[in-house]
Amino acid sequence: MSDESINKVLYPLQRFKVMGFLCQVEKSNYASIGEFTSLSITDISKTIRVLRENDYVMVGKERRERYSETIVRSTDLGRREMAQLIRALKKYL
Amino acid sequence: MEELIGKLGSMESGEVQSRLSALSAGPSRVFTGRDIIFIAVTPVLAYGSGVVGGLGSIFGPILAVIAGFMAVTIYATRSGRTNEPVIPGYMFSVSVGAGVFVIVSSFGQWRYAPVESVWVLVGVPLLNVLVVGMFMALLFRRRRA
Repeated sequence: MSDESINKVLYPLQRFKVMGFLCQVEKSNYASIGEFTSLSITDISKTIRVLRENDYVMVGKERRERYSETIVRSTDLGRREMAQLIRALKKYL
Repeated sequence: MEELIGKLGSMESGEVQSRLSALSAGPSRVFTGRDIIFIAVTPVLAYGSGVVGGLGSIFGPILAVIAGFMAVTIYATRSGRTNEPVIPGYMFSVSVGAGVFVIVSSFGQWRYAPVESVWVLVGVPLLNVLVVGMFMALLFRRRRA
């Protein structure tokens, strides 16, 4: 397996789970990410920060009724890298 | 990085399998009452527009335009929803294409009205239903991550 096929940013389990979920949806909020990945809000927050620093996700605020909520969506780069990592892992099956 | 490659190198397929299975299944689509009305009414309008147009009524093409706009509206209301599966951007073009097909087909029926053959009158509009149905099947199909 070559270096290029392994993404060390996305490989850790929490990031792998969060990015895997975000690649499947248009956009999501922290509560739903937590529901589908079984991670705590703190873990999600740390994970999203790392993913954002690497331009794998975009974070923004959207108004929902009277409150605003944090919305996260994956970028094209993030989806490409995730797909590449999954392909690399599948070679081991 | 070398440590990571080493770790991967020593991985057994079971470990990889468990890692891949850690990926969540993802949420399913949510259909509101308005969505269901749009999904149910659009093919009916598309079919009706062909039949009414074939009978020579101007309401045929008018209904077709409404059905065409509804097809685009279905796409517009489904895309960009929080916690719903991704809808690719090309589906906008598909929705416009389906709408245009319905309009052109119904306009053709109206132009050559009255259609004498019952089979043409009731059969050709089925193409509208087929095209709208294919559009919806593409829109709502489950995509792999």
